Amino acid sequence: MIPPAPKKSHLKADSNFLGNIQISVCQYFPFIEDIMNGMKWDWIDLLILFSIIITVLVTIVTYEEARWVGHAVAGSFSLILMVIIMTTGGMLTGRLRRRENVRIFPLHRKVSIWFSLYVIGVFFFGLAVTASHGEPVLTSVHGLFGLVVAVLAAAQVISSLIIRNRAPLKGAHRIIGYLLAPFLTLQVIIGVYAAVIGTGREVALLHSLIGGISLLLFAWIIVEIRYPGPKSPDRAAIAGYIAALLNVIGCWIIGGYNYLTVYRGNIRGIILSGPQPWAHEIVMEAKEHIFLFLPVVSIMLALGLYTVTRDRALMEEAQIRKALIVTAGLAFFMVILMFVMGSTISNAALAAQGGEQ
Amino acid sequence: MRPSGVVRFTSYCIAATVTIFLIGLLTIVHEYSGQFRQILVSLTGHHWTTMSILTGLIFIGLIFIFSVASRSERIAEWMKADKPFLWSVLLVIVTFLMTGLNLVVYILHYF
Repeated sequence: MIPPAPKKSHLKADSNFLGNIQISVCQYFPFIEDIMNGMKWDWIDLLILFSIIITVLVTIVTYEEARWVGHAVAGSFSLILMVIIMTTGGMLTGRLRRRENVRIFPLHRKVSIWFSLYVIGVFFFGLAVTASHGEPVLTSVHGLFGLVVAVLAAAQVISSLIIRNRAPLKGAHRIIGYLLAPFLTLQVIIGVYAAVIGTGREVALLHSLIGGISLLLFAWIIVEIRYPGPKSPDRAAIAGYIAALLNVIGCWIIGGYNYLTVYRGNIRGIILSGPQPWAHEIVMEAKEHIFLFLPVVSIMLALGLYTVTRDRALMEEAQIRKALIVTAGLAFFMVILMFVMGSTISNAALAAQGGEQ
Repeated sequence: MRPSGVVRFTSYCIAATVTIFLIGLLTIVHEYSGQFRQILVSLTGHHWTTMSILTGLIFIGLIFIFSVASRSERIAEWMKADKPFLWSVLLVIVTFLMTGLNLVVYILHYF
């Protein structure tokens, strides 16, 4: 029987003491070697590093006044990683076009490992934040659901790092992966809901959730147009129609109703009498007008995608594809800007009420 | 003549760019002109509601105008209707510009 070829490793048999310890440790714990072999820094590592730094900074800055914000930021970065995993997964299964000269599987694996570690980290971070405020842990729906998501993420990362022959687990890995996407989205929604429920801001919550869904739809459109497969124009167009509808009905009409009734009748006065009146005078006053750009951009995007579905040859035009990506990117940016401005206004209202956040 | 897909696409992009420019400009004007603000309020009861309706009407109107105008090859050429990417970049620039200007106006107003 031919012995298996030795596994390639970037770890060298250094003569120094630390090098020998490193190799000894890797012999007993092969997943550490896997991690180190994968430690060739690229854009995804930088994204992770950036997200960790931002999460820590936001947590420190908002810990006293809005303790849930750091956890929410971490959840949002998890969603971004999830979109990358779904994109690379779609390329592996052939639903999306692969980029030439790019090995997708290592990228998919690396992002999946980071994602799982990040989700587990966010779960323990949430537990720590809850416990540090003297509240019981794992009693809320958000906490218990977080446990489920963390366990699924752990199952994914352990199978990726420890088990050498993963072929028999492919089906289970795929099912857990498909489950994690809606579970994580639901978990973020439950988390946001838990943060604002009972504060009289349910309409604002609905407004924000619809904005969040449209954010994912714009990201989806960018992915479909950037890596087009045979059915990409149809899927992108459906995403575009839903995003435009959500922006017009969900954000414009519901948001407008919330602004003209709940906000003007109650919250505006609270903010103006609180410690951050600028949140209304500058942020809200600007937001209510800047927001009007978003439905225009999203309707324009939906019309553009409709044009592409009517004339398939347009997808071959680099100018059109680039224009669609730029427009979807603009809509994505505008939704994030609205989120940031909306969060600033909400926090100013809570700060003025002096309540627990 | 029925315009090509590229020209139709560019017409939507131009309509969005001009709409955002006009709405951004109207916002600045209504912030400095009490009389104009009063006119907006008198139309629907709140200036924001009027601005929202105006946004929809201007956008729909401009889509119609640019779509019809681009049927003429001469006008389509003048509009650079064969350059959708250029217009999408202009859309981004105009949106950022009007967003920034609106913010500056309210910051100046506050201080």
